[in-house]
Amino acid sequence: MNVIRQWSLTLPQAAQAKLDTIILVLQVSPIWPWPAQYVSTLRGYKGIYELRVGSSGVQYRPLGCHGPGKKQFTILIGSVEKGGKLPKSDCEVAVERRKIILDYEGRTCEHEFS
Amino acid sequence: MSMSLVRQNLAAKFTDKAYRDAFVAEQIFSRLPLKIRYLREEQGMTQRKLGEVAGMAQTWVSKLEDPNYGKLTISTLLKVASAFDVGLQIDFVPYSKVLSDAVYRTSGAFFVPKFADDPGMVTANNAVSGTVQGTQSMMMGTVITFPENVGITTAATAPRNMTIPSSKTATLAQVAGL
Repeated sequence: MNVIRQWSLTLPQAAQAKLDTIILVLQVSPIWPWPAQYVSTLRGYKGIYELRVGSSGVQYRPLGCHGPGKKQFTILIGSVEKGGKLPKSDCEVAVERRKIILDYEGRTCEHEFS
Repeated sequence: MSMSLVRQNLAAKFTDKAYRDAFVAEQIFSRLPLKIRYLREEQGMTQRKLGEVAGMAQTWVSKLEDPNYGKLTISTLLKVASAFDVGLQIDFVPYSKVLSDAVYRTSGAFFVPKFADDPGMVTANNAVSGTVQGTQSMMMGTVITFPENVGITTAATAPRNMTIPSSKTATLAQVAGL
């Protein structure tokens, strides 16, 4: 089971296209660290970053972290802003999953774009 | 995951019209902001400096570098291209090209040389700074060669080799005898 794929398939087509494009662009970005308009740190949750994907007025925020390998970034959970904030539970899940994937790389797989 | 598999997966999503249309849009609205920022930094410009050269406020430049701004216009992009002294191409293309360009793009694609540094413009750049040598005859006309089977529909068929006098008042229709 791939929880990120499951989440992304629930998004409207336009949001999926935006997420796919942003990931493709970031993969070859000559700018490092990635600009904050694309990826920003999640305040209050050390090591967690949010991909900034706005589409049709909805702010989708896949949360992730760097690792487990070098030059790798792992999307941990898909989240959506509500009232300008992310659900606290989503942020906490991201923190938990980060610990898991950094301890055990076998719990990750390559992003599928599908 | 190989890039060919990524392309295959994305191609499957392209069967949805809403997805492929949005993907095309995002290749402009989400990709170009990063390129604008890269070119700006590569040319040693601040947002304020780019704004001055392009004739816009720094706050607008900031928006142009935001993938969620989503309101890039051709006229604005032309101003930015001019400020960077690089070209801008906008064209209708097959979806397959949009997809392949997106999947197989490398970081090198973000670099665009300015006119003065463009290796493909070396001759032009030299000619600008050099002196034209030799005696040249005055040209009395310019020849436009039409490709075979060109689908131009007019009242009469244009001749393939059309000689146009250098008079500024002559029009294509007059020369072609239309």
